[in-house]
Amino acid sequence: MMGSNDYRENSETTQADRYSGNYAENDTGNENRRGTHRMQEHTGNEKRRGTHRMQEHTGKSRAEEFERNRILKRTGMAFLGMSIAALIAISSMNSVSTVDTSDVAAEALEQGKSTELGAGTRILMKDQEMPARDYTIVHSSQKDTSELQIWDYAAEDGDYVQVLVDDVPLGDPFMIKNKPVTLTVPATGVVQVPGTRDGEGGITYAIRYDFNNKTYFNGTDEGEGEERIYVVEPTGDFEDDPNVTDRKFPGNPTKSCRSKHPLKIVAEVIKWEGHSPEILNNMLENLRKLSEQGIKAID
Amino acid sequence: MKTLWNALSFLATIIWSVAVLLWVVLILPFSAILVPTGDIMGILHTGYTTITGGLEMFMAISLIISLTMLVPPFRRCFRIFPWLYPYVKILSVDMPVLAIAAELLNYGYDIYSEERHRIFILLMIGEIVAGRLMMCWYFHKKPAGFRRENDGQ
Repeated sequence: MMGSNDYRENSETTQADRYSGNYAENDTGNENRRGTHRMQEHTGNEKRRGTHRMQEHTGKSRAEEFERNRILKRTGMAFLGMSIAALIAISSMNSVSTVDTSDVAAEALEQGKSTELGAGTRILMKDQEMPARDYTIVHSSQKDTSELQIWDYAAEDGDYVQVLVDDVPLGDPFMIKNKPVTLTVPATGVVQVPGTRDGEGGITYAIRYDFNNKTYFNGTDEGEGEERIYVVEPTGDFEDDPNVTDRKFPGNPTKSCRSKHPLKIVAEVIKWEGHSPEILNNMLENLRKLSEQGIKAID
Repeated sequence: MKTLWNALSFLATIIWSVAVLLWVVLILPFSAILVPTGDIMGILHTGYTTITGGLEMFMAISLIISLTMLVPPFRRCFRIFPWLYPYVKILSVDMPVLAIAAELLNYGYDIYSEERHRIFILLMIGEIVAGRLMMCWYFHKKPAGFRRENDGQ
C-alpha cells in the first residue's frame, strides 16, 4: 500500500512540475520540457528505487521477526518437553511417601509393631532418636527363607544401615528410603540392623517379614555393629596397662599395653573370635564388684 | 481497544520480566553449574548420598523459559534483550548434563561399596563428557542465537 501511494505521489508531482515549466518559460518550453522531463525521470527513478529499498528493508525485518518467532516457539516447545520429561523423571525416582497420621500409625509408633500397616508406610515426618528394640519372632512357617522388606519410616535423610544374619552381612551398607528394599533371609536366625550413618536426627527403620505379615518399627545408632579390631604397632614408648594386668587382677596374664604415642595400624583382624558371653558376664561382674569396693583405675 | 490490549500486554511483559524472568536469569548460572557441582563434590567428599535438587530446579526453570518463549507478550523479552536467548539456551542445556551427573552419582552412592562407587564415578565422567560433546554438536548445528538474513553475505 505504502509503495503504491508513494508512486502516485511521484506521478502527480511530475505532472505539476511539467505544467509549471511550460507556463513559466514559453520560448524555451521545449528545452525546459525536455530538461524537466529528464529531471523528473531521474527523481522519479531515484524515489522509486528508495521506496523499493524501504520495502525490501521492511520485508527483511518482517521476515526476521517471523523467523525469530518461529525459533522461539520451537525452542519453547522443546523446553516445555524437557520440563515434562524432568517431571516424569523426578516422579519415577522419588520414593518419598506421605505421612500416615492415623490412630493405627500412632499406636504402631508407640508399640513398635503393627499388623495393619503395610510395607513402605511412613509414620513420622522427621527422624527421631528411637530406642533400639530387640524382637523375638516366633512363627510357624514351613519355608526355609522369608522375604524381608526394610524402609525408612521417617524422612529420607540419608540414613545408612546394614543387614546381618547371624553376624554375616547380607550385603554392603545401603541407604534406606521410604520405598522398601526386599531381601531374602533364613526363616530362623538372628537378624541385626546396625546403623552405618545417621543422615540427621537418628536412624529409623521398619522391617516387615512375609511369614507373619507384621511390621516392626525400630531405631538404631550410627556406628552400631561397626566394631573393628586392628593390629597396631607403637610409634613411641609403651607399658603394660596396670588396670587389666596382674597389678589389678592378680594372676591375670599381661596381655594389654598402653602408650601416650600414636599407634600405627598395620592390619585389620577380619576373623576374631571374642570371649564367650559367660566370660564377658564374669568380667562385667568383676568390674561391678571393684566399683562397689571403691577401687578406681590405677594411674 | 487495540491500544488498551497493547498496554496490558506490555504491562504483563514488565511484570513477568521483573517478578519471574529476572530471578531465573540471576539464579541460572548458580543452579546450572554451582549447585550440581557442589552436590557432586559433597557426595565424593563424604562418600554418602546427598539431597540433590538439580532436576527439580531444571524442571522449574525450563517451564518458566518455555512460557516466556511461547506466550506472545512475554516473547517480547527476547527482542528487548537480544543476549537473553543464547544465555538461557546455553545454560539450560548445560544444566541437565550436570544435574543428571549428580543424580547418577547419588544413585551409585546409595550403597556403600567402593567398587560400586568407582563404577559410578566413571559413569558420571562418561555422562558429562558425552553430554558436553552432544552440546558441541547441537550448538554447531543450531547456534544459540537468531540467524540474521544478511549473515554470511
